[in-house]
Amino acid sequence: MSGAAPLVFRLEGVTKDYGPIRALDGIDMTVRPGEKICLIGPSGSGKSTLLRCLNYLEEPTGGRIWLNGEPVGHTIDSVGRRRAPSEASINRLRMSVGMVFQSFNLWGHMTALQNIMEAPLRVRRLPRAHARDLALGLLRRIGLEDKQHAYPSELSGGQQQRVAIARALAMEPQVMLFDEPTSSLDPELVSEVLDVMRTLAQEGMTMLIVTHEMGFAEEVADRVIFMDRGRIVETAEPHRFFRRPESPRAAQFLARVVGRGRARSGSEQHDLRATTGGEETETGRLATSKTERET
Amino acid sequence: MTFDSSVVSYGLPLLLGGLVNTVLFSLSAIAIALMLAPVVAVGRLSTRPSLRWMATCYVEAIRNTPFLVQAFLFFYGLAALGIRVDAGVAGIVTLSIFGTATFSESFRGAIRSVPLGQLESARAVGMSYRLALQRIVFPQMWGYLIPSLANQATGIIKECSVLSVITVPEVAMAAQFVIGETFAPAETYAMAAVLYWALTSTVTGLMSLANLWLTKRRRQNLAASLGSPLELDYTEA
Repeated sequence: MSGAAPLVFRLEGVTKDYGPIRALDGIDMTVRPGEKICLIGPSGSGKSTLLRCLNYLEEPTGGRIWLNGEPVGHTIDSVGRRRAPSEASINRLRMSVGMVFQSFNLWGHMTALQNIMEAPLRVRRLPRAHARDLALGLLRRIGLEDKQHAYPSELSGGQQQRVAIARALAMEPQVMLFDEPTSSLDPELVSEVLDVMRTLAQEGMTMLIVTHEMGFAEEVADRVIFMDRGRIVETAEPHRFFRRPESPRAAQFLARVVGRGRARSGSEQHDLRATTGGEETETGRLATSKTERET
Repeated sequence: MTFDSSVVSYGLPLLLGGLVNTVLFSLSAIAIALMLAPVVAVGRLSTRPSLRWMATCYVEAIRNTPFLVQAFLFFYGLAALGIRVDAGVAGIVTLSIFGTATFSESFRGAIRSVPLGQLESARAVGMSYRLALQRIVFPQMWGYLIPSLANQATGIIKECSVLSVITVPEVAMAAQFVIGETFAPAETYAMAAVLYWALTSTVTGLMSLANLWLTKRRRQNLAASLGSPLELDYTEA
């Protein structure tokens, strides 16, 4: 913990259990102001769970989290017991942490403009005119000013996700979490969302991105974190990570995902399937469905 | 069988008098249930075990016993404890207790019909659970809620007839009185049936109008319904 500006996030031994399944297994990490971090790894490796623990959409089972040097979430009292945080303290945490979901989750009964204005109005309690100006400014930034009165069902997936980004930005958060923001988009709509994220990155926003867009990760990230089975396996500078990953697991994963064409040479593929298939993806699926049930 | 029209001219005013009470009792119970049922429904969806347990016990106890028995138990049970309650008050209270339980199930289903992601994204911008329900979940559940409520509301109106057993002078009791005077049960019950039918269809009609009005301009966000909401537990996220 050196340097002038405090760390945006510091995590110490964060764990998350769903019954017998350990989705996060002792996560230590730090996020510096302005840093862009891409979290990658096979499905079920805990990337999304980690992101969701950062804004307490999931309650970590163990470990500690600091935001700007202040402890958030569960605290340890003088007798060493873990104490659950109050709803108010979690709401405060969430006000400084924006989140973008894989399935957009725009509110279906509100127009694009209303979606963006809602939190500034009701949570930040800004005057209506102020919230409106803020929302219109954001719509302009994402290039959807002409869609302000459109309902989510009238927008394309890419447009919905851009509005969802604007909605999160309207809280003027310190850090943005992106949970596979382009994974449910048609391929031709991916770039418009990545463009907005790229601009945001250039403006200096602190960003944590769970993504399968390896090209984007390499281009934007300051650091890549590779996760597997609930652990951080490798943290690396992206160019080095994508060329010479240190851990065998990361190498296998990259061979499968990035070098899909190149790596597909007979026997090697069989090896990969043997090491990464079956049991593990099963665990992943279990963990995901469990997540949905418990939230 | 010949239809005796003199029964109509004698009995109808009396039955209409009973109908006023039926309307009064069932609409009061519906109004009270509308206010309390959301609270019970949210209780059943709570992550707090004590709240969830209390709400579940209440709803299951009411749903799994006949209303007739509940009315008897309340009226004569209190009398046995030495508490004298006016039949009318007892009628409204028991019918409200019954209505709240059945309505709460409609509310619970309606809340769960809104995809979980809607609540999550509301919580993610810092809304409290309560605010997220008010602003995001409740406004999107009408399309699901109203038809279900209309169904349960007719149930309340029909169960209102049971209140005759604790001497509430509604349609069914008026019918018994008319039969005692005219010895014409067929004509009398036919009239009573028509009156009940008119009342229930008026209420369901009003509710579908309410539904049209409430869902006007509300669009379903297809993309937001990714995944089946019915498989998700809709508790405090």
